[in-house]
Amino acid sequence: MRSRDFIFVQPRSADEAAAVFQEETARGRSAAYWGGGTELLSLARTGKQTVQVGIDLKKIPELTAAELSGGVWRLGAGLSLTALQDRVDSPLWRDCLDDIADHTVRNRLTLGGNLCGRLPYREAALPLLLGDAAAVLHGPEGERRAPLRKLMEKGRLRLEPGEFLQGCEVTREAWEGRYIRRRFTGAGPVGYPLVHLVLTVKDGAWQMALGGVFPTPAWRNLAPPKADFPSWAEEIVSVGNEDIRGDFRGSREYRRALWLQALTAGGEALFKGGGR
Amino acid sequence: MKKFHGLTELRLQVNGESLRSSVYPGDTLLRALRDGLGLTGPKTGCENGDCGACTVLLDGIPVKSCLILAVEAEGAEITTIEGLRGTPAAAAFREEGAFQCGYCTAGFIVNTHALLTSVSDPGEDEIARWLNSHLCRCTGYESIQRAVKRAQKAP
Amino acid sequence: MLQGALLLSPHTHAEIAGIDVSAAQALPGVAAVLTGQDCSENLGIYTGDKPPLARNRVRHWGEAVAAVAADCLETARRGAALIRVDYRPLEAVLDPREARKKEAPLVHPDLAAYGCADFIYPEPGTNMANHTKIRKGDLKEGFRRAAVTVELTCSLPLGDHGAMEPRGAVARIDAGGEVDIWSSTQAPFVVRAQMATVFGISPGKIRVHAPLVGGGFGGKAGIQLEGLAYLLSRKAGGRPVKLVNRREDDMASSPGRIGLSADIRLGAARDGSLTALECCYYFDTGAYGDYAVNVARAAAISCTGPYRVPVVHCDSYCLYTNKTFAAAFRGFGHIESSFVMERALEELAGRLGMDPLALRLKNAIRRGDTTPTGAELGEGTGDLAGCAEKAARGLNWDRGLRQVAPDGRITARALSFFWKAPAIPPNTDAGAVITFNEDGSVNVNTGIVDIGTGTQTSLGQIAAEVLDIPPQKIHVRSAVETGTSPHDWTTAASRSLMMAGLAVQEAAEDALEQIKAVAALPLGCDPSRLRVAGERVFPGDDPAAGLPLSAVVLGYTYPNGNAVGGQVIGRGRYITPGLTGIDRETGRGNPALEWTLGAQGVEVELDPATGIYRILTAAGCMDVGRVINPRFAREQMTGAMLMGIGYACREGFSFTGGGRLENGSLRDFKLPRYGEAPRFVVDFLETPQPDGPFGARGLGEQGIIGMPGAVANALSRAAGVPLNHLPLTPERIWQALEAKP
Repeated sequence: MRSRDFIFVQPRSADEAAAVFQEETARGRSAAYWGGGTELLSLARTGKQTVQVGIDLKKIPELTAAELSGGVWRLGAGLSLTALQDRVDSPLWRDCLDDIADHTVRNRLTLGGNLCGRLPYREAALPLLLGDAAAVLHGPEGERRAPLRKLMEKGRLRLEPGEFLQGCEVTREAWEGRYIRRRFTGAGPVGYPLVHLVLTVKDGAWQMALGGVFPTPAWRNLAPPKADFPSWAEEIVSVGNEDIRGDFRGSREYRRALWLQALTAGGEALFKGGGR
Repeated sequence: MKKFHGLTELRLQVNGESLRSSVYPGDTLLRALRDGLGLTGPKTGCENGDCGACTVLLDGIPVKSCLILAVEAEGAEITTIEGLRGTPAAAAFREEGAFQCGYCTAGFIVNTHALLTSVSDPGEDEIARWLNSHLCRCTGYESIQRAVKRAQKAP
Repeated sequence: MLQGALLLSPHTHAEIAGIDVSAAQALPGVAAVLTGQDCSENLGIYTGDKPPLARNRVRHWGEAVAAVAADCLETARRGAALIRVDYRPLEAVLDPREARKKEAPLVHPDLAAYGCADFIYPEPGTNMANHTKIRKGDLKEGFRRAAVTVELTCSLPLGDHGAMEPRGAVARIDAGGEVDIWSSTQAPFVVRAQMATVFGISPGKIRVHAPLVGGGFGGKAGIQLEGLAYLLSRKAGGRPVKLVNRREDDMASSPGRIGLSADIRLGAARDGSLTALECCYYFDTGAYGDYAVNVARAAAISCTGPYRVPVVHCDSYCLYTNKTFAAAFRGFGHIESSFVMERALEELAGRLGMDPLALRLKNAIRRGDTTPTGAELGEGTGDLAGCAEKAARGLNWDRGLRQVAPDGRITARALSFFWKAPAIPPNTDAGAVITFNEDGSVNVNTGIVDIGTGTQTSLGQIAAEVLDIPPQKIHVRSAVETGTSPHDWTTAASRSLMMAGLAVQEAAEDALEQIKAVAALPLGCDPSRLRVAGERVFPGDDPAAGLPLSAVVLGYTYPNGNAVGGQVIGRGRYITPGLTGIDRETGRGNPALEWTLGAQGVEVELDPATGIYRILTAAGCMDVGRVINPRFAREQMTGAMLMGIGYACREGFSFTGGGRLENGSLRDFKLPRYGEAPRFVVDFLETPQPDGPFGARGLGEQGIIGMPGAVANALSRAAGVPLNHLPLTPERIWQALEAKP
């Protein structure tokens, strides 16, 4: 980031934000929507990303609201993860966010930043994919909604040029049911996930959301297990093996093994009435 | 719409005082506090959000000041370690000798103070969740754990 | 103040065909630009192999190629980014065993031309930076006597010190040519000496200031950024320049800790007595030798661990590779050699069917036994058996070595014995000056840098003890300045308390003599009749008949105004007596001042399905001669033990096949965090060190030394497979379990 030329603006409405983005881009400047800034500042400092104009989304009312109305959770993308944990009374939601970065960073890291930034883990997406959340986007054409599952089909949140995430909506009902969650890092409590597995069962329907294993978060409906949990898990884990991520934090084989182990044990526990 | 561009004069509320600070929009709060205002309590351990040595409070909430722009902190109550003299957290760390080189200490005290003033009677897990935002290379954390317990018990 | 920034090499090994700095120089705000051509000398604590900036060739990814000083940090960085370097990549060597081979690319083709300390033996034409030999006894005979022999290969990677404060220095040259350096350093006097030698400045004209330092662990010994800061200032007309590492630079560009691949062969008789040890260390010092050439030597000197081994053959090779280079690190070769020996001992215990603790106790070194260099252990030899007993109890040894819980989790225990002597020059020194204030309070001035160990407080306690003045009235200076502080070798090697402590003791005793000499005049008696106690000086047993110290310490003034005596200035010095180097062919000699012995271990709980484990308990007991400050002593142990756990369990640089450092940030080089530490059980024994202050000997490093061995032994036991390669990440354990037939 070229500190002395860097411009920081704080629009007061979603339309204003989208308009500024368009203007600055038209002027040939690299603009970025700014949530907590935790990722952007780190990338800019190490020269991995250049941002000439930062557009702060945290002063826009629609992005900083979190409320339950009409049985639907509306989660503002400009709120920090800890604020969202405090205001959204869903154990599944709270748990899934709990290991992202660390607690102090979560005091600034926003939902929008986690979902739309460059880091591929996007763990806040896991409960949202499970809940079939709707993403509310805002761009030069105004507001639009799209199912998050569709937007994240290919992994990264597919936004139109100049669009930003305004918030997500998910029915409270969708987050009911029982769940098991397992998260593994290479070592220690703080770190990127090798495997972040969330298994849910609701009204007999089984779902899985998975972070860390593939380059981007994955979500699937699952056939319910019967008695042979290892085989059930093995079959699930065999799909898409070629794409499993491997790096110095954890090899492909290890991630697969952790996923399999967690899925087997988690599936059995949920089947037998456990979970939260 | 507020726009920050070029050298900017900010009024920052720090430790109960209104201080004038000259910053560029791209300057982090950490740099503004240290280089601009001479408040060298928060430290530059990594400037990447990993070590916690830069931790300050923004409206009572612990944040890593290396990952916040100074201009974003305008209008907020900023508390650095310098503003926590005499608090139970600071006293407990001193009495337990919960430091060696001292570089990580300010961050720990700031976060401990925030934890104990916003969560009533946190358990071990909750304390670890807050404080594993911090690294210490010297102590092995044992004395820091004792200091947190001691601060919890303080009236 | 100008701010400095470095340009680092994106290549692992390359020739520099040209550097174009014109764009950087032209940038408004840039005051100075330096490249390797600006300094024709090399730095190097033992081997003069390191140019301050790469000259003609870069030898590791992240090596500093150019430096810029500018009016602000951003301009300096921008200036550095504008420098154009024409690199011609060369073949690189990344493994120390590969580096030893004849056909390996040479990291230092000019090795023959470098100046070198006379006890370091590089082999020009190869990548051998140093070769240390131990030849004690007849190897063939030693193994002939063995009923059981084990052979292992062990390894550990290069890593980082991880001090919370990155390295940094400020340099300034005034109009008279006097140089001031402020630095986060453990070795202000070494910095001065290196700069005097390399840059041709009189040492009296260099003042190195060492204020409070945010952790060192060996990484801030020697010379770090000070030379570069000075060169930038010199080019900028003497203006002050501040050069501070970003964390990523601190990890990749500044040195880390040494790596090792080792072969060991250990033989024992049927009853468990060790008969012979043969070990071959392939140390990886990275691109430059720095302190690591001596680390490799220290590993050879300590290769047996604190055990009685009659026949010892060791070859310790220190090899150059094209990676981040290694400096001193806590444990200094003893931690690496301990890991290798402790793994071998555990294997041996298994083969002999002997309890691992019993095997160690049987061979525990005692007074009168000799070290690998043939030096005999003297009166201050610690009670190793006593330490082992306490450490074992702390680990609940009697519960058994391995238990499997119903849910499949496996608990296991292991112990190691450790030792360390300071690896120091045979003429290592310390000094102390004690002065007084008008209220009778005391100033203690030494050359010891405050790196967080609490040594200053302990030195104050020693002064308080000798002077019989309350510690609150003893003011120990925490900042060192080479122009005014007494000379001191370096704040490292666990020798500060012992050596500076002796100097403080002597200075305090000297002060007492002077106090008596001054007071004798007004009190009208012979100084030998006077006593100093309770802040008074008095004849015989009559304190009331004497004077308060405050009336004497700045000279005595009679009621009529005449003044006599003058101020008391207590002087103390220490220099290591009777040390020698070691013979080039046999390793024979007396390099070790004193050995601190101990035992430590861990209790681990492993989930064999995933390889994930917890360290439940870490226990240790060490014989320190005398505990001067119980709280600080305990914390040196807990801090060192956790550092050892990090070393064993997860820390290690990860390089790509091309030699780029992948995990050079605190996000991915994961140090243990709050909440991860085990329960610590710590004890000390006190077998006095006859030549130590109040019987004390060094203790700062020792707590780390046996940890990698203990952790590897416990996890190997839990997993049921030998784990000889660090770091022992859960994945590594899982892989070993998967590979088990």
